Formats: sequence, C-alpha cells, structure tokens
Amino acid sequence: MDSHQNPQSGGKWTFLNGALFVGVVTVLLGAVLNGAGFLVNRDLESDRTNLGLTLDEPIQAVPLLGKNPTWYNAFVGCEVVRLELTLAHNQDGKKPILVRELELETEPVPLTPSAAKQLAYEIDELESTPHGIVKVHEYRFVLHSGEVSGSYVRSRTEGDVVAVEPRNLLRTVEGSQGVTLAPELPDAHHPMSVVLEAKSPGLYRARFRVTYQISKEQHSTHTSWTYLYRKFRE
Amino acid sequence: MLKRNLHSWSTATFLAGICLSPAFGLVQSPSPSPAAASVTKDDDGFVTQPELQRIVTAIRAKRLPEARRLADALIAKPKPLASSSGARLRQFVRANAYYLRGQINEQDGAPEAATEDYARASDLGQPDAPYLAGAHLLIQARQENPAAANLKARAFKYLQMGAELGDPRCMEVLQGIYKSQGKKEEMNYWFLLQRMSEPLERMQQFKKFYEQQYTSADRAFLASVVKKLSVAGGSAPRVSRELPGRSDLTAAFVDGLMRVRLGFVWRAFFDPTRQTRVTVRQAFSNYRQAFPRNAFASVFLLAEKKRESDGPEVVALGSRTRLADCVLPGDEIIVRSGDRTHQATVWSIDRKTGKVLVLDPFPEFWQPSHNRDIKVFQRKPYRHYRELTALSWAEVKGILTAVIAIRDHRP
Repeated sequence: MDSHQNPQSGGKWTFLNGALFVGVVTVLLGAVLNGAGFLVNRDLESDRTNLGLTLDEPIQAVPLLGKNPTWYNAFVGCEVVRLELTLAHNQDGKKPILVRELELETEPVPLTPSAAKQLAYEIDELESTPHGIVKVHEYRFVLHSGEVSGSYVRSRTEGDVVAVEPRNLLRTVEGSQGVTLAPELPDAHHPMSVVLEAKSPGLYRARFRVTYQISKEQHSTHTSWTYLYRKFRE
Repeated sequence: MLKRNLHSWSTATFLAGICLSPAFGLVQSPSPSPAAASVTKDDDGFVTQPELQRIVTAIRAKRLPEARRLADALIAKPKPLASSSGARLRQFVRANAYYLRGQINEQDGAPEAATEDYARASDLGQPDAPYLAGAHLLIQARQENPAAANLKARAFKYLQMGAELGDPRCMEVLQGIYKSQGKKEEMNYWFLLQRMSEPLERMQQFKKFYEQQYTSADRAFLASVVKKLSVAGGSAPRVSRELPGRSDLTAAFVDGLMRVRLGFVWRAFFDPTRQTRVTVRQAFSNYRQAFPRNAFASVFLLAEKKRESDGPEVVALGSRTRLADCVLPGDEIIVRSGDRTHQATVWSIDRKTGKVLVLDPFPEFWQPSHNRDIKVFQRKPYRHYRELTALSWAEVKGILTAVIAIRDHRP
C-alpha cells in the first residue's frame, strides 16, 4: 500500500502524469490542427481567381471621309464596327473559370433629328480594300429592323457558317459550348472577333454580358457600351 | 473590199513566231516560253507551288533528267475527287507539270512527246499550252502525215482554245484557218482582236487605217462581227454626260482583255495570310499604270462621290442607280457587303431578266451563307475549266460602290 504513496514508486503519480501528458498532446495536436486549418482557409481565401473581360477600342470597319462622330464623348462607329473581345483568367488563383453565357445586349438609343445631325458621317467607298472574305473564325451580327441576327464564320467554304444566338454567343444551332479558362496558358485567354453592323438607320448601343462560374459560384459582368450609328436617308 | 484591206494589213503586221499560208502552210517552229515564267509568280500575294518551282529551277539549270523525274512524279499523283476542296489547285499543278514536261521534251529533241504533253496541259485548262500544242500539231500535219486531217482538226481545237483565252499568237493562226475555210466573220473577228494586243504605235496605225481606209460598209461589217462574236457585247452608247461610251474598237479591246482575264483566272491562287491593304483608289491607280497605252480606250473609276483630290479620271455619278446604269461587260465592279469589299469582272448583264454573270476567282464572297445581301448564287462551269458566277443584278446593284470602266477616250 505504501508503495502507492511513494512518489518514486509510481502509483497515483504515474496516473496523474499520464493524464497530463495526454491532455498536453491533445491541446498541442488541436493547436496544430487548428493552425493547419487556418492555413488551409487562408490559402482558400487568398485565391482571387476572377474573369478579366476586355473589349478593345472599337474599330471603324468601313473607311470614313472624316473622323468618327461621338455621343456624349463616346466613340460612335458608323455602319460597321469590328470588336475584339477577350475573356481571360486573371491568373490570381488556381481555380478554373467556366464561362456559360456570353450575351450581346443591344438597344436603340432615342435620337432627335438635331442630335442625328451631329452624328453625320460620310463613307469613302474608294478607300475600302477589295479583298473579299479575308477573316474567318469571327462572329458577325446584324441589327436590322429591331432584330439582331448572328453567325459564326468557320471557313470560306460554302455553308461553313453557323447561326449564333445573340442571347448567348457560345450557343449555336449545333449546341452550347461553354468556355473553360484555366489559370495557365494556353487556356487562360479566349479572344473573339466580332463584326457588328447596323442595317437599319438609327443609333444603337451594344455591350457584352458574361455569366461565369468559379467553384460553383455564379458571377456576371459586362463591358462598357459601344455605339453604332447608321444614318437616315438624306 | 474589207477582205483586201484586211489582207494588206495582215501582211503588214506579220509577227515573229508563227507564219502560215491560208491552208496551214508555212509554219515555223514555235519557240516555247522562257522556262515557264507564267507558272511561277510570287508577288502581289500570288502563290507559287513549291513542287512546280522545283521543276522550273531544274529546267533553268539544265538539269533535265531531274526536271523530268519531278514532273513525272507530279503527273503520276492520283487525281483528286472532283468534289474535293483542293481539286482546282491539284488540276492546276498537274496541268503545269504536263506543260513543263513538254518543255523538257522539246529541249530533249522529242517534239511529238512535247506536243502530247502540251495537248494534255491544254486539256486541263493551262492557258499557255494551246498555242504550243496547236503549232506543233500543224507542223506534224505538214510532214506528209497520213493522219494530217486529224492533226489539223486537233490543232484547230487548241488554237481556238488559246485564242479564247487571250493568246494573240493563236488569234493570228486562227485568222488563216478561218480564211481557208471561207469564214469571213470569224477571220475578221480574230484579226481585230489580235490588233488589240499590239503596241501603241501599231494600234495608232490601225486606228488610222480603220478610219481612213475602211469604208463605212467595212466598218459596219466589223461592228456586226464584234457584236455577234465578242464577249464584250459590241459597242455601247454614252449613258452619262461625264462618261464616254464604247466604240467598236474599244469594245474589241475590252473583249481581248476579258479573254486574257479568262486565261488568268484559272491560275489565280493567292496566299490569304499575305494581306495587301490595297484600296480601291490604289487598285485603280495600279490598273491605270498597267493598262496598255491605247489608241482609243481609257480607263475610268466610277463612284457615287469623289474627293476633291481625285483626278478627272474618277467620275462621280451621284447615285448608285446611275452607277449601275453605266456597267457594261468587261467592267470591274466593286461591291461592299458590311465590312467586306470585293471586286469581280462583269462577264454579261441581262438587264431584262435581271441576271448577271461575273468572272471571279474568289466566288466565296457571294455565297449566301457568307453574304447576307446575296440570295441568288450559282457557280456555272464555263469554257476550258473556267467558271462564272451567276447572280441577281438587283442584288449586285444594291451593294455596288464603284466601277472600273473601260471606255473611249474623252474628246
């Protein structure tokens, strides 16, 4: 029995020591695990993956005799503009981006006759370059009588053009094709060429709206407006 | 009377190369083109096929066995299906391989083998080969050959083809053949067309001859011949104050030019990646510079509007309707659909039925799948493996922006 009270002999002391050890280990382990969790969370929180949506300055696609008009200081394309749009991974994180929809939003801009006069332009047909179909792999949209119709030109071969919905450029008659942007090249960028033409007179504005997912979270963003004008008959 | 004039003129203008009596007589051996200058062209975005270039290089370096081996290999390649996308290019390469092998055979002293190669090249549309095939066949027909009649018939076929593709050497030989056949209209038609390919001084002499020596009956006869046989459709009156019309001589000149284009279109292969940003104004300026100096025809650029800096050769007509009213066969039309501008040669217009045929090596521009302004589009096989594009004149008018027009000199 004495042996139980002898500090040298173990007994209760030994039991207490063991319990203390387990407690310390548990606390330490918990701290380590918490720390690891913190680190993991911190890593996740620092993934700032996002979509970069860039629309270059619109290019006037038919030559004019003078400069392009402006609308409240914004560039106004006359009859036809070429737009270069780039969807890009911002490469500030590791998550892929799934672009599900790319919409071309268009709307007429109310225009008074006096405002229309300020948008006057003249096409210089003799400065155009008669080379027929030069570019392929481009989207082409026509604004005509309140409707927008679109197509994607795959090649110069007859019939090798697919109809495209302005509500989603990534959906053609052949099905929907989402775009996945990876953080690394070469899949980090998705450039697109778009030709936009006004067939009916009036002032229009157009922009691209993108709906995309990052880790099942849905996001949306859009470009600024591009203005397009076709003059009324003189 | 015209016969006398024509004969005296023809005698006076005998060209070097081939000479013949009315009945397939005095034929001199034709000299082949310098090692296939027409096969290789590498400027203005043209593409020279490397396999043809290798043969040309070997011929020029007098490495004939190597050149022959390369040509044989190209000829032996299997024919593509007619529908395959590269069929036109494949045919072009194959035809030129025959043409080059013909030159090799000539240099090797095998004229009969050369003749057959030139004939095969012609049969595939090669525009320089028909003259050589026809001339060689005529020489063989002279040599107391029992098959002379057959050889002459074959020669005629190739010479006709060459003339139709704008080769003045063939036009000259055809005159003699038609003369021997008593076909006065055809003889005079090719006589007139051949005059159009001559240098300025000779054209001026001919114009003087035409105006001073021909009677009005002679000129009326030539006018009727041009109207009947010309692809340009004969003379045309002035339809605008600013723009002259076409005389019979100018119409004949345009006809010759159309035939040259018909010969050329077969070999128009370009590299689409080599974009030359040549504007309509620059294209017109280049065209004017390349336009042969001419005793009676001028070239104009017609548009709705012009800049102040544009010269008098640019004619502003004020409206698209007036512009369209001026278009004649042989004119180059410039059209724009959206941001795409294009150029094609008008082959014929029937304003009553609203149909137009254009000669265009790049007809994809007009495909309704690629062009929202065009609904009517049909590719029509034409002579000698050429193709015309059938369109609606109303639709073409709707996108017409300019015309490069050949008309009489301004007074």
